Amino acid sequence: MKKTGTSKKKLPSRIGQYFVMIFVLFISVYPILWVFLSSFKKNPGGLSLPSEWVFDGYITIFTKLHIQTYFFNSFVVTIISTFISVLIVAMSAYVSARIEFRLKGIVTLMFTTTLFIPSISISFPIYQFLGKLGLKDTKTGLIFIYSGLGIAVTYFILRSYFLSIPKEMEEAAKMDGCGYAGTFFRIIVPIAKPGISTAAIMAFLNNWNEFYFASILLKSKENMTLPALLGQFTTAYSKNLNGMFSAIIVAVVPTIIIFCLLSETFVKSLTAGAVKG
Amino acid sequence: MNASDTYRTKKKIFSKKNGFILAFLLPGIILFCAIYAYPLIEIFVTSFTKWNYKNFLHPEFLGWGHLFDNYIKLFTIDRNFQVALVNSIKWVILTMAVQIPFTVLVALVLSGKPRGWKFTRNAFIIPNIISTAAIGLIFLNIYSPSRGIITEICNWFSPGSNVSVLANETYAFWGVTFAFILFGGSSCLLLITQIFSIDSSIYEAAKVDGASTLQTNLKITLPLMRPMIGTVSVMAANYGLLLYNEIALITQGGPDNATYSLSYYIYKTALGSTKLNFARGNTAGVIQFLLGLLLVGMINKAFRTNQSE
Amino acid sequence: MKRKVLSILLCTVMTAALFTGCGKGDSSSDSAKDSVDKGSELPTITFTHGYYHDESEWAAAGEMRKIYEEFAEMHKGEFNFVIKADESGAEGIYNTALNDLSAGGFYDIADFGGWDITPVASSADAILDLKPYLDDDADFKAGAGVCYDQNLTEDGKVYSVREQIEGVGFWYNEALFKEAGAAVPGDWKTWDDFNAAVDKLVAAEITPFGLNAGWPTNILLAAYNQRSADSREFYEGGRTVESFDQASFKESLTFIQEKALQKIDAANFGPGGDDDEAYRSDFFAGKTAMLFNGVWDAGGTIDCEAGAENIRPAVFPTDESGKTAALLSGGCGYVVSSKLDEKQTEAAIEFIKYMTSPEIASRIIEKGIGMAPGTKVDYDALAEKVETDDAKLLVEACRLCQNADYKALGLGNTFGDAEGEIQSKYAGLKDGSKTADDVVKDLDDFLAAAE
Repeated sequence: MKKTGTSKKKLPSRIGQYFVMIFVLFISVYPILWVFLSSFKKNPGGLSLPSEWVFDGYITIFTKLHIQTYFFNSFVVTIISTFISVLIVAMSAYVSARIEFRLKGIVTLMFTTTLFIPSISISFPIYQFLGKLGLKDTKTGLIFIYSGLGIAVTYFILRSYFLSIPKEMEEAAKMDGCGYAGTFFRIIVPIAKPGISTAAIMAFLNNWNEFYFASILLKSKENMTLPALLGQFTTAYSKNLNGMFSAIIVAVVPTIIIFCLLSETFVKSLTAGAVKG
Repeated sequence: MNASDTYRTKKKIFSKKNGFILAFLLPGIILFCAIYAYPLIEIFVTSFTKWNYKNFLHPEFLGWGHLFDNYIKLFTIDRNFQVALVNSIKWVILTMAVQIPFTVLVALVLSGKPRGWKFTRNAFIIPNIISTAAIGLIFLNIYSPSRGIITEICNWFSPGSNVSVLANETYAFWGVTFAFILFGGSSCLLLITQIFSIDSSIYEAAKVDGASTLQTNLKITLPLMRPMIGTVSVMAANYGLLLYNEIALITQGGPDNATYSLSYYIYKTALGSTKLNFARGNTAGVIQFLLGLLLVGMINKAFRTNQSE
Repeated sequence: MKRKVLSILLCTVMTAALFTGCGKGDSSSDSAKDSVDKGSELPTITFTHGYYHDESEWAAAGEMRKIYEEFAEMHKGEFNFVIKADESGAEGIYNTALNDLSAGGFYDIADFGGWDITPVASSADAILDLKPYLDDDADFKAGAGVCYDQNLTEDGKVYSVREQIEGVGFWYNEALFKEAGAAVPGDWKTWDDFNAAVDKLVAAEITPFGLNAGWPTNILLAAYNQRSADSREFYEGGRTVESFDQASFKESLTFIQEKALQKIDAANFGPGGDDDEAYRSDFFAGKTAMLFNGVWDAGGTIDCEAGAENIRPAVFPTDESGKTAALLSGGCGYVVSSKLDEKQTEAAIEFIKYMTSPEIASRIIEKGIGMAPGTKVDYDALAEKVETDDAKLLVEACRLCQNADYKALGLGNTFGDAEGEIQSKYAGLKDGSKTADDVVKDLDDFLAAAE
């Protein structure tokens, strides 16, 4: 009796629930699905299903555009820059989370402000700087920049994670004769793995998707990343619609597949470090 | 004697500690200086100069009497800047007014663990993990009158209506807006986790008191989510303020410059025109930076989410 | 203590960074680095161009690359001519050059297409004045043709020439004109005849032309500005225009609004932009009677639905009975670094001479790439020589442009950044939300803001 009572009360709210969920699914999945279906049409676009399935776009982008090169570039740049950025920021975050020193406030402020520095306005000085180092249009130059982009987010995730680790751990390590650095690398890093992987995933996604710097810094085909390639499809004379639709799919589908396969780990680590306690 | 001994040992410990602090902070500081501090100082300093294509290599200081000329010009005669400023503020407000409530609503719905909640949650994250360049291109095509779907849908309701979303100032603004505003997947994830971490005994108590789901959500969950809502608000508002990719890929600021954002204005003014007005672009950059700080201050105050405490 | 150490450190790093930032001019240039020979004794120069497109996407790009490679092959005993394609096109080359300039570098030689780098690059003292070389060699000067005058700066220098120019008149569909009983452009005496023809077409329910908030409308506006001595004078001073509030310009805007934009329905007016080609495709599909586009669109007639035999080139009328006008804009083109050594410079000049030579000029025309800038190109002879129908049309179109009574630069070359502002107003003019006076006011605001 009681049970039916509650479900009756819940019916409208349940409809509401599913309405919200269907809407979310629609806005998240439909655009990509539309591009996916369109990529097989002779004349991409419109609402209908492809009348005949054409694979020209995909053939072109693999054989003529060599999208695999861009893919590889994106991968190399992203992996290395993510590693550097997480390592460097982890060290700073650890110091500011654990050790008392007077300029702590300034360090935190420093990392916080980076969140609000518009990358467009700093891009020009950075470009000149890279030019002097001889790193224009190189993967190294891009890795350098990506290592520094998004350090605010990495800093906060890591810092709050380090704060949540009980201090006794380090004190025990110190008793055993570990120095500061030894404590950090041998004790703290293994414990903070969930936090570090959260930060690394965030940094990875940001760097994988970064468009602006990639589009202005990279000129040569050998170094270009996927987002920079996508940006080029809007330029003049690119009338290869099939190619454009296929390239979008090739650029996004691997991310989506990896995400689907790892979604549980991904979600767990993404949230483990972000929510304190 | 005794006192100086203590001092010496203390100093020794300190110097070892200081060495460690320095060694661990230095890479971070160098990175910060190279990528942020130096450019930031440069844009700040050059906002008080005359610097365009005529003196490309040698910015000229405006002089104390004309110190704020660039700032004054932006606010008095530069119509594109004014449009960009208004748009950027609109986009910040819209993310706060649309994206945040929408994401909170989705988080509340999904935290009830209805059937398919995980799938929905994961799907919602997808637009956030793929490149904004891809999203921009996708929406550019969706809005295209010749191959897009908006025109086709409009034709169902009034055949022959030739709606070109990106050709109309008002539509184009909303076109850009809808290319990002509903995509709060990763914020949603953070919010859901926050909800799950709320002590379940609080809900038990509420149930005993006979509170409805809606009441529990409004009275208990929402207030407890406040710090996390603050955090995601900061990120979302910041995204709205710095909006660039969507504009560069979808409208290029048009039609009639109606969809300029501050970032796009900076790009156009400094690099995208033959006048190369770096001074003016950098001045707008300073304003954007200050606006960002102001915004965070306001949001943090509203939600009291100073994470460093 | 600690605070001091850290803050001093921070300051030092920042100041150091700032100082390196100021020492821009000192850093060695790219070209010097590039010129270091690896192995061979031959001088090396690198040429960068924007024709990176696959042939299937744009046939002209493949032909251009072939032309460059032949040059490199021809001179391989004398110097290494390294050819590099920039995947982001002329715009990308321009942007890279800006950034390079700030770091004290510049391309050895690059093709900037329509993107004019010369004001910036010359103020940075990074590029070579080609005028002495042009003055020295009559053939070279003739090959550079209209580019010589168009690119002559106020202080008497020529920093760039180009192998092709944008020759622009328009195309029309003769069958549709006949169907409407309208006089064909060849018989027009003044713009009144244009208006009369448009009205007849509209009355016969034939869309006279497709437009958008950009290119084709800009062409019409630029062409209408050639109608009288007054408007031509205003137009010629476009680079240094101080106010658009001129009767003749307002009249031109009103013409665009009332006689062009409002003669077609919304379906024939696109948003503009690289992607917006309905105005072209509709013409070649036989849906519209006129197409405002350059001579190179002769290539569009191949296998088109409108029927290649119906499509004819034309140039614009003026208000002086029987006189015609066309738009011929060279744009920027080849720019050479001033930091090259003697031999490298020679090689670069050799290349530009090659690109502007009569052989390449006729090849550019025959292959339908565009119109050559040379004043000595004999289009009548070429007409005999070419075989395909589209090449014949191209030659005919070039000949008309060449022989027009008034030749002016395109809107972009004339007004620079203001072109973008002008075209962004077309939508408002079309739906009537803006008048010519409003537009002029907006444009003057823009000029004031840009100084």
